[in-house]
Amino acid sequence: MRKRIFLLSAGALALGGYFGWRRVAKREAESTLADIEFPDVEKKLRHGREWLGKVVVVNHWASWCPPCVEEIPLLIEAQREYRERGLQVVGVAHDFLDAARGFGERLGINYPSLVALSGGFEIMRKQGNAAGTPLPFTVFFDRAGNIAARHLGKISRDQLHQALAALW
Amino acid sequence: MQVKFLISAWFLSGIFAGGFAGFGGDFGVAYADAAENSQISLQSQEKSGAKERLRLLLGGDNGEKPQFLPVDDAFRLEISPVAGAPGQLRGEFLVADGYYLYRDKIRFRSRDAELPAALPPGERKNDPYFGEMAVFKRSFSAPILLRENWREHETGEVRVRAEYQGCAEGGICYAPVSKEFSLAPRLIARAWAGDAGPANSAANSPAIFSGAARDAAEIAAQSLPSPLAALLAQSRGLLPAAFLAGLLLSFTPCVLPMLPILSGVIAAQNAPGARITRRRGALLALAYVLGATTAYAAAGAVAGASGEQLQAYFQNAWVIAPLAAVLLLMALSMFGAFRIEMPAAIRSAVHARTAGLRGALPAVFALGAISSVVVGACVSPALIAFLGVAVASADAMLGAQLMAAMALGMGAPLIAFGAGAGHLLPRAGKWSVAVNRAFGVMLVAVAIYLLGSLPAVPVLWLWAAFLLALGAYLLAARLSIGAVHWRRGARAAGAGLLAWGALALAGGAAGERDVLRPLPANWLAGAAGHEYARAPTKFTRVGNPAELEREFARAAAAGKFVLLDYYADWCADCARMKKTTFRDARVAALLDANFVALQVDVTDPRDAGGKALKKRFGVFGPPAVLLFGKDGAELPGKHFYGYRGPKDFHALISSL
Repeated sequence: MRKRIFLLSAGALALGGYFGWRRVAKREAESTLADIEFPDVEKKLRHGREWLGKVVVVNHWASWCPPCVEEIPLLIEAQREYRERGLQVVGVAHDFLDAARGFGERLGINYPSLVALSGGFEIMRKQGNAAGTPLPFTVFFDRAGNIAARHLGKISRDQLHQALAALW
Repeated sequence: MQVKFLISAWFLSGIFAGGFAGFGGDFGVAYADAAENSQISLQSQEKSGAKERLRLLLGGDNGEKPQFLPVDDAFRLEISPVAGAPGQLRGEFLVADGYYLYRDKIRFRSRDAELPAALPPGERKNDPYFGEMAVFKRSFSAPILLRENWREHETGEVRVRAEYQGCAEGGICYAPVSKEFSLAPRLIARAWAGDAGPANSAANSPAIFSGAARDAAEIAAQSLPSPLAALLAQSRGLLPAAFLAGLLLSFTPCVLPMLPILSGVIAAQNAPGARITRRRGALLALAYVLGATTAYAAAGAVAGASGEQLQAYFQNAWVIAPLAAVLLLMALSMFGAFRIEMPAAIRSAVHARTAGLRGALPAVFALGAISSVVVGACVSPALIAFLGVAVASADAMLGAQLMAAMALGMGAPLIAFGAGAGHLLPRAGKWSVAVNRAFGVMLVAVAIYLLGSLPAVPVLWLWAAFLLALGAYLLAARLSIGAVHWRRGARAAGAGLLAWGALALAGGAAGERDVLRPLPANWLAGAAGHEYARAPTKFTRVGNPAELEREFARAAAAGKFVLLDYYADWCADCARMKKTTFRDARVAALLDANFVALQVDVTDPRDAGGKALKKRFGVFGPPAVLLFGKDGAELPGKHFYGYRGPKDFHALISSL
């Protein structure tokens, strides 16, 4: 009888230990549009959920990144052309506010330009920019606010239109 | 029975000790790293291994999927002293094909002063927005000049911070990178004296830090109770502090498993007609303690000499689980569930040896050494604190001395116990059964405590089960020994334990881990009328020194102070602070207005970024909160390690 108790409890311990041990993996929930919360160049706090219902293109850039600056005119043009269809481009500058604002004015940015003073790299990582912090990084959100596509590096007109086509 | 028990316990511990030595550090499970300062190399401290080569996939595209290298693979920097050229360092940049660095973004700093470096001219690149820029598309090297009179100003190791920034031709740019390099002056001097050999192998030799030992002592002091902290803060008080720490630890349940073993040994001496004299009991206990002391001293010496922190061995699931199992088996045998029997041949051989006092001493010595493994796992916070000092000073002798002092402190009461054992230990009878059972209970408690250091284990559930069972037993059992008021006392205690067990159950459901504080802090505090902000202070995660630098730059631009919090999932005090201090309305308001709140997640002790960040500021483990002024300068007097309540914290940060 005692032996049985012992065996049973040892077995229970082992099982319990095994399952407890398995329970270690942590999965990070995928980031959504609502996770975005940064001030814009006018120092007004903007929230991702403002743009729910639209096709949102979040473009991470910085003034010290030439390819980023080079692709912005393309985004400006797209914003103008597709505003009616529900496109919303949102720029996220990993930069000082003055640099972001200055460049924005110089380039003629016609969409909200957010400044990621702190938390920018974290959000970018959550949105799927896995290794390091390369820019530019563009994330496409569908109308429900979920991530539909990502693009690392300077984006071309074809790539942009292709990604958008799937989301209208 | 007692001899059998003793021998079997010895055997089992021996097996597990062997297993523990074999398993080593591969299965690291969380607890604080003691000291990472010992890594000394002139190479970049972040290495990129195969697992960091991630494929960056493009989504929603058709056509080419270019791969971009992680930044530390695209650009690599090595700094070494130039043999025979005093004052000169050489920086060697390796640039991958298809990547380039901006010449004007390369900087070297030491202690905030910029170091002149003669960079080659590089190649011209024309950019539509930034005009003509000089870039490096190929690997190159450049001499860097340390200030000529650096030796007068630098005490301790030499630190050089390199900054650079580059892009890929494929159309991405990396954020500015900042890397720290450090080297002990002794090794630099040797190189500059013309001895090229050792400097090149500098990457493999242990660090020689001079000022670090004092800092380490101060930090270690913060994780110990305050009377010890005062002693520890002065380096001269290190050894007495270690002894005292050991003494205090002996009163914790951690050292208690030793008592049944020791009492078993001493009682065994009783059998062959010889009475246990005080002297004999004390001698046996002394042999035991010396065994433990030797084991600890060896560990301390290894830690000091190799500069490696051994805590990973203690806090490792593969070690803890078997140890807990051994303790549980011992407890079961105390409850009389079974007898652990060894083959008759071994039994008689060992029995013959342990019969006489002379024979017993070596065996007991060995037993002490082996059981130090169990105790070590249990008292590891204190061990880590003292080992950290030994590691930081890279001094094998100091490490051995500290550990020996602590082991002696832990063992002193055991010796006293041994001396009095003849009188304290009951002969067979009802009391002896009760005593055995009490020991069994304590062994289970220690096993649960050990298991609690593994984050995967829902330890509060275990405690709840334990407390409820014990409480129910005390309440319901008709104790046949002792006077009436003992029994009433036992019933009252049983009721109390039941209540505690219920609280633990509730706390376990809420995810708490500390049995001494089972309820989530904000439940109670809510009742106490604390004001909580709707959302806790928002922290920005920083994963490595480069990100940290960026955040510093941003804070400087925004004119804010910086708060750097080291956090880990398994750190109970961190979780407490998260629920109390950082949720407090006034604290949150003050932080939001004047601080950039950064957080480093050091849950995984192997994470390179976390290690680098801990090493940078000499943080051994969470909780730790470091404060920096608006200019990014460290405010060492304001750092704190350990839990601080909302009022204290508020007072501290408003004083800035």
